Amino acid sequence: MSTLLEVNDLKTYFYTTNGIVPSVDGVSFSLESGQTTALVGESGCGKSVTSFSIMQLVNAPGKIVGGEILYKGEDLTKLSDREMRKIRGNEISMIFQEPLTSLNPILKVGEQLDEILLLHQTKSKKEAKNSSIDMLKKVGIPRAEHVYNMHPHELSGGMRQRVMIAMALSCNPSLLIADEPTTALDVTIQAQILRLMKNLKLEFETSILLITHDLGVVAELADKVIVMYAGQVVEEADVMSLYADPKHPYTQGLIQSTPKIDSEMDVLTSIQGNVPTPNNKPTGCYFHPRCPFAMDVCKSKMPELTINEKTGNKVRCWLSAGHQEG
Amino acid sequence: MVNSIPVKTEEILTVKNLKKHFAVNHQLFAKKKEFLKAVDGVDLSVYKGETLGIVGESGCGKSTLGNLIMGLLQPTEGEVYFNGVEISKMKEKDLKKYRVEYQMIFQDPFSSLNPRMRVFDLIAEPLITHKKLSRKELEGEVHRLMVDVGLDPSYTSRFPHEFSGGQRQRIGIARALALKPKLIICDEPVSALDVSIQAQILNLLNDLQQKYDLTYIFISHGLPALRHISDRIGVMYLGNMVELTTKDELFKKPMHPYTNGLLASLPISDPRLRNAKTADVILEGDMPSPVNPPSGCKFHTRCPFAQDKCKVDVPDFEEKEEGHFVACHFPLHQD
Repeated sequence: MSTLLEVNDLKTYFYTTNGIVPSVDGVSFSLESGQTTALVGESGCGKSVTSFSIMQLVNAPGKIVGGEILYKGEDLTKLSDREMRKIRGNEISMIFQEPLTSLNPILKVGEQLDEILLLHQTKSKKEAKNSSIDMLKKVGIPRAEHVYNMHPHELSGGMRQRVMIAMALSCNPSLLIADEPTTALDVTIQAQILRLMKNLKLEFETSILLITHDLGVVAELADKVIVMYAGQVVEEADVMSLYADPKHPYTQGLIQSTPKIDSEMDVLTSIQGNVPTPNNKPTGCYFHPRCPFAMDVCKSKMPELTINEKTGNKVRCWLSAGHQEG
Repeated sequence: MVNSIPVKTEEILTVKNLKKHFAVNHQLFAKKKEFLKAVDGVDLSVYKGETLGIVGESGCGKSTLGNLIMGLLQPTEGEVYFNGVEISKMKEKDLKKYRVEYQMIFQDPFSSLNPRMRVFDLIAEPLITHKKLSRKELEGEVHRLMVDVGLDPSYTSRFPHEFSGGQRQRIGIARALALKPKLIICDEPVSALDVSIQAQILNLLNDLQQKYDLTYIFISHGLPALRHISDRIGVMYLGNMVELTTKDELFKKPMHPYTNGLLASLPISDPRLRNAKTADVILEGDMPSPVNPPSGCKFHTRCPFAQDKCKVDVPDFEEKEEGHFVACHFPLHQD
């Protein structure tokens, strides 16, 4: 397995009137080709800002202030706008949560699909149309020729998300970033889109970076999981060991507080308190005010993201660090 | 309230053949008026002390049903009875007396609280409207309510924007509780919240139910949350109730093919179950438009078991087994 993308100590800060907000605060991880990696966390944990940083789509007052993003060995943070435009949509593409706001309402579906192909590939208009219709068929849109001539508002939510996926995959990108791809959809439609993404992953061999808060979606799709809390990575593990044996108390809390269909619980285990706001983070480990196992050291010193040599999984917690010493 | 289901005979709320049709074409000289049948003939009994969950996808009419029961919308047809008194056609003035008894918690704690009002005024507002209390009594009540819902009572002079989503939802719950209602309609109360906060709010609602002997109608699109909180669950599709039974029955023995499809669509909770899931039961297609719903059984266009009869005859909502209502010509899992 080769590394496709490597993020090293990424820092994306927002310079607001109320001070500097470190939304992404020293995040490192790597994506392997052909794998689906899930970036999990609650609102405000920095998972979306991380994905926007990879795409170089962070707008003022936000700024990447440190770290590097190596894509096939090339640092994306050092590219000019022009060079980045060649990568965006072609090498790395993205699908968003709300397909209605990310599609252009006044252009037909077909025009939006053709646009990408005409921009990135040397194709005639007719060739572009043919491959666009092919793409629409591949994402399971019935009567693709007809949909090609429709406007986004004429389509249902599920169909729009299929169009978004068709657009994102039309240039056969190496990396697809999916930011909450099914959050706005109903469960029956979500199941359809998840199945589609599974099949497309096999067909196109695209690496996927899946941004989500939904542990069910992670359980369905991911190979590797990165858990973020307050702008940092707190745990990184393969999907099987993360669910079987979560190491970080936050991950444990997330898994336990999700209501499950296949087990009966009287009281849901919840995580006490609230996510800290990015400009008002606690001292020491950011999670310690909510952590049921917090010790003295947690209040004063931030633990490092430490790799377990045996499993290759990583966790940022004094408890695990202690266990390894003992 | 989760494990033991007490015998419930006393009906607190009864809904009979309730309908709400919205006119959709606004052209002045349109020849034929079209109607969006948001709620299209729902019958329902809610028993004292239970939590009735109502589940369905967007556009199925579950929120409209909640608003009709609350009297926020006028029904096109049908009646709502609260403790045996018809409230659906009552005048606003007479209704005020009953409004005290049933309250609502809304989905979005960001837009349902007035941003210019302080927490004290927000929670005191229903008390001022409905009861004559001295300032001191009012302060005592607000203090008690804030403790009940897990808010720090010293925060009374703060504004809603100073709170997180979960805390705002607690303010909303305190407002709903202020008048000691018997019935609370919760319309997607945790959908806008983060997972770890959802669990806090669900647990709080459970505790409050036991403490104050409340009855809940819990409207949600998420079956896992409903499984956790409900005693009985009703499933809606395109304006109709298609199945209604106890929580355990619904999960073990779904009779309606739509319920079956909904259950099959839920993401797995553990990656080790990936291979155990059969893919062929996923529902295909989208929900049809409620303006022009399919003939016969409205679900027949997506139903994997549909037969000719389903395209023509509307199935009745019948009690196929004790306490298990379903509207289907060919129900599944029948003994």
